[in-house]
Amino acid sequence: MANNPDSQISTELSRELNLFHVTMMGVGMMIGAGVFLGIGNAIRVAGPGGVILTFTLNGLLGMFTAMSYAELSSAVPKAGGAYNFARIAFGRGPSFLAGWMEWFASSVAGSVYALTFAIYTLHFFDQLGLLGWLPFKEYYMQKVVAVIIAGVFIYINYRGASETGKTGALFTLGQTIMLGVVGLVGIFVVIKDPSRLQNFEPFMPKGWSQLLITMGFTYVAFEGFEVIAQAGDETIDPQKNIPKAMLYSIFIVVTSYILVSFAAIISVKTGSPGVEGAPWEWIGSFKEKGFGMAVQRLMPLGIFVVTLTVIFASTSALNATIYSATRVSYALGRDRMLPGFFSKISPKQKTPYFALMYTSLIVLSVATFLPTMDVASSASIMFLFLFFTVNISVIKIRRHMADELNYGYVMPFFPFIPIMAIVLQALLAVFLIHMSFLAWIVAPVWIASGIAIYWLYGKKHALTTQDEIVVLEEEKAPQVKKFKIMVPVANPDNALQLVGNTLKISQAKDAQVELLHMVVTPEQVPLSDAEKYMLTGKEAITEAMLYLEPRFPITTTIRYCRNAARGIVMATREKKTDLLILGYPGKEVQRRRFLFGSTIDPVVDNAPCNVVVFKDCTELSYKRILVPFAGGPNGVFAFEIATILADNEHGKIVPLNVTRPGSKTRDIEDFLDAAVKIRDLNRKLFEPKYIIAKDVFEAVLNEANSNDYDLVIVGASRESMISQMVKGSFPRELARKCNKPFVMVKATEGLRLLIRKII
Amino acid sequence: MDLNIVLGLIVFAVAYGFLLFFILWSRRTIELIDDRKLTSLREIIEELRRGK
Repeated sequence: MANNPDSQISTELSRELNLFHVTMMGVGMMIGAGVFLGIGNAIRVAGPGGVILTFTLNGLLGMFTAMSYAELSSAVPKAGGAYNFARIAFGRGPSFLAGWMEWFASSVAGSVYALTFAIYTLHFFDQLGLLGWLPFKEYYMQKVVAVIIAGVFIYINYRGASETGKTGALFTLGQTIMLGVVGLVGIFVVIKDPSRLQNFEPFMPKGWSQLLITMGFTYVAFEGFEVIAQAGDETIDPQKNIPKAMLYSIFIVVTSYILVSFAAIISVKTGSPGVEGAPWEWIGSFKEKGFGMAVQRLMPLGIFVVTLTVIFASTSALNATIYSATRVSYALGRDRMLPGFFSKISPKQKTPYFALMYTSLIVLSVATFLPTMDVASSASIMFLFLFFTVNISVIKIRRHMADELNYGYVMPFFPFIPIMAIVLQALLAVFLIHMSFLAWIVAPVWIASGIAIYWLYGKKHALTTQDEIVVLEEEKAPQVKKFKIMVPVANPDNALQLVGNTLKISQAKDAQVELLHMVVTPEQVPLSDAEKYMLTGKEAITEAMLYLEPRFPITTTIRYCRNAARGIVMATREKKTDLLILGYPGKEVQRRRFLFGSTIDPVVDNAPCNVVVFKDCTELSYKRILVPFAGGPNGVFAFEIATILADNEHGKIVPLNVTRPGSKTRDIEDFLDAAVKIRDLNRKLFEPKYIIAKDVFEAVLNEANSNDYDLVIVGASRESMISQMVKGSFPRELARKCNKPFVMVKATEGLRLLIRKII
Repeated sequence: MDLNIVLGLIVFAVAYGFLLFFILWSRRTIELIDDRKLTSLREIIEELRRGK
């Protein structure tokens, strides 16, 4: 869906692509060049075993990233791919960088495909003896042909012919079948003549470390997910078909690559006419043309089969990459992250001609001036960086926005898979320096120039999108206190309950308070109408202000957002809040899915500060407070809040330790002594209590519901709310079954706090 | 036989095996989510754990 922020009219592309079409789109992008250019060079660098392992391990690594793409595309099935994911996860700056990298990566991949076409077609004509009369060196001829074929497809894109999924799918199927035939011929030849398996000895002639280099420069052969992600708007049942297509396409491609690599290795026998040295050395000596030479010897009409496959594969991939690169730069212009002329559409051809012109400049200049392997390595590095962004985005989006999205697929072993992908991709990117030093100059220069352009232009001019949070009203008090408390208020009843407790805490902490109201506006309502939803929030904030303002400085903010939880977390991060105070309305809503509700759960999970949740706490001070003892930072924080809320003269705090018979009892006194040293606690208020019981939870619940207490304070579980919801949770059950005023606290400290503040 | 070949075959089998596992696991998950009309991450994770 493409929505204009200023109008309510939306347009939608027709959904015509099925699972087969989108799978073939991905396969077509991947088979475009990697296998043809990569095999010869991979054999030269890593040997006969190395080439098989290169494609297998790259396939597994590609699968890790494919799962990230699949999860994100199922949850956000819109066109835009990595650019869109980064925008949702991290906002404008990182999304600009993702789009900027994608523009370059796709353009350079286009250069690789143009060069592949040139190398193989010239080789074909050379084998037919048709090039002998030419006075130029083969290298320059390759460049000329590459520029011509790139020019042809730039013109085709200018005329408006795009990658059509249905027709393209048939071409890709044809290429895949041809590669399958080459692989099957290889297996047939080995069955007939098993002695050819000796070509695999020595298996890794140059050592295992060479794998990291070959995996790096052939990684460009696994970059088809992006085009599938871009097809989200045009796919039938995208939540199901897009993730399936990504996973199936990588499986088809890896299997094809392994088969044709095997066929290439066993294509000749040692000592065959014209074969000098070991077969792998002979194939490797032809570098980019190695695969063609091998297939030529493997089967009759081999050179014809390979050339035909390359022509189909490289031209369809070239067309798709120019289209994709143009589309990304157009999107950057449309969102005003690049100058507006990037989004100018030709009145006659209806194509973004400025975006296409700049894309063409990259494609043609890279194809002309850089050597082939440097071009392939540059594309690989940029795709590695792009996939790096996608793998980080999948972690961020699942952690912070999972409750807002409808997933059609979730990956296993989260977050280990994206983390492993990030680490391994970084390793491959580093090792690419051994293959192409130039690529390691080109890629950082491009990224640095992108950062500069964003700071100088994009940051100032970027348009606000539907997903962003906007401040509608803000009244700032002068900042006179260091400690900052934020109190989100939803309605007048909730506000009155919260302010009394906030008053006590803010006085004790000598804090400045900020009242926040998030105006949650439905997706269907444009930004301009958000203010209509402000009325209730304004009333709540006014009531709270009347109570609090005479006592200490208050800032009030009303913000528009699509999701209250995300808005609150972003506000705490932006304002560098030290403590967030939430009120639990206590409604029996969505109990099965949430502990405290769809807003409080994600906020408690993700807020980069300490959090206190109040439930039914209408009193200003309490005489007897029960604090079930669990230790840890939450325990200390629970004691601190209990000290603040307890009646100074007659109040008592009862830390309760329940142990099973035979288990060792933990000494609360020792813990309290240690806690007093780090927090301002009134030690005299505490009266520890020990109970031995078989059922710990029942014992705590009975104690809490007895008439001895007027408030219960519990430290939150260290696990995420989602994990607690699944496994069951002590604080959750207590909150549900306890009939007393209840407070849950969560301390965010140390490494966890640092990570949350940074990311 | 060259030790590298043995190691290489093991690496190949493990990597390709994982690849197949991920495909089959993912396919099953996508079908499960679609069949049971699950949408939220909480429901999906709960269902996957129950399915174990």
